[in-house]
Amino acid sequence: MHKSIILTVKTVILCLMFFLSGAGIIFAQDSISGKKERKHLVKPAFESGYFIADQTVTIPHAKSLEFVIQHDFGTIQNGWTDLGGLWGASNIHLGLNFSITNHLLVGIGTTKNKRIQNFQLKYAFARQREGGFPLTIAYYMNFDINCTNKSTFGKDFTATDRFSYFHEIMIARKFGRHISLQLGLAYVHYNIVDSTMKDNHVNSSFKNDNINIAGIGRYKITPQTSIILSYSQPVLTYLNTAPWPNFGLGVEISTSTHCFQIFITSAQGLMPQETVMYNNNNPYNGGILFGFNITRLWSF
Amino acid sequence: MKTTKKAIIFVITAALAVVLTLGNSASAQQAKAKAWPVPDKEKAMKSPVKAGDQTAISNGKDLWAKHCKSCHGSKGLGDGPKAASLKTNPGDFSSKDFQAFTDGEIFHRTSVGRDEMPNYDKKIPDAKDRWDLVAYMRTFKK
Repeated sequence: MHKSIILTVKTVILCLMFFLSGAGIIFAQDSISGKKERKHLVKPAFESGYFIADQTVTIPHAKSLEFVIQHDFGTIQNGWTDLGGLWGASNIHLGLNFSITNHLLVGIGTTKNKRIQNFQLKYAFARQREGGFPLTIAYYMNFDINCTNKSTFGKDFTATDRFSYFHEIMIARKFGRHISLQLGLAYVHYNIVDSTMKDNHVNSSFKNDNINIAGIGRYKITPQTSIILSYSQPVLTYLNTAPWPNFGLGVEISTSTHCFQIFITSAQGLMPQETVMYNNNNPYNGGILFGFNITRLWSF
Repeated sequence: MKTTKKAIIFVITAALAVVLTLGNSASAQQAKAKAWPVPDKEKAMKSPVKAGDQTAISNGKDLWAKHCKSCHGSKGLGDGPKAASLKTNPGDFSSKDFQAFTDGEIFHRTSVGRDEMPNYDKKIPDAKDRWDLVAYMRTFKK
């Protein structure tokens, strides 16, 4: 059953990419009586491409360079002994992204835990327009290289054992001045996983993969301040390690060039495939932590 | 030990004196904005926003809060939190001099920027949004 789910979702993501790129072109024309009328783009549904532990459909304008810092503290399990995790083991990600066009962004980054080096790409197929196409739709891909010592990968190590992949289709809509919502469907693959991650179904071999469904929402309370909320649910479970879903709740403050997010979350890991596949934080047992994201934009 | 303590107190006092002096000097050196000529074609541009369009003014207000308020202040008086650190005074947009500029002049300067004033043609790529900003700036008039 899991095999068919994985194949179905992979097929759906691929089909959506082809269909939506065509739909985006058609709706972008907004042709009436042979005349091309370009309806105004609505303002971006989200201030930043980063949203707690998730990604959004937002791509900064063309020829922008974006620097990002993502920082998660330790969990609150130890209470005051480590100041609710502020003094505990932390994780940090630094990244640089560049918008080649208004539709295409590429980026690189480095993460402390597991010494992950990542490469990412985001492409917006279609963008919401006033009185026109009602949605913003984007594809996001993240490729991770785990650079820990090769002894952690067990016997018969090969270089490709370090690789993992994350693919997501995101669909978002801005509802007026205050509310923006987004749904995401993702497929995750690790070239190698721990042998304890056996599928619940004896005959299935898809322990290297998972599917994730994510929902995020933002409510703008002032032009610069928003309440942000996210929920992410891995679909498949494993015999010995069932990844926990992750949620996030926080505040976002944006300026012309910066976006600051301060939040609590149960996500473990800063790379999207890590939060889907290896989230062991039980939110009902202190598996919650504080974190923040900062992005800074330069225009060229 | 006594000598070390005296040396530390002297260094801290000297550092404070330098910082305070330089701080005062910096704010005393803020210059008035030089004349900013605008090409005739841009100067003559008319705003597509109808007078009293509250939707446009509301949009302009949101954009002002995000992009402009930190230097120009919430009422355009040039008293935003970053204003004091600028070399050039951001100016008083409620004044007769500023309000006498044409819509085209204000639109052009907002779009192309100059020196410490960034260009907003990329950060606010939709021209309609920049015209809405101009409409909002007109509400600063005394």
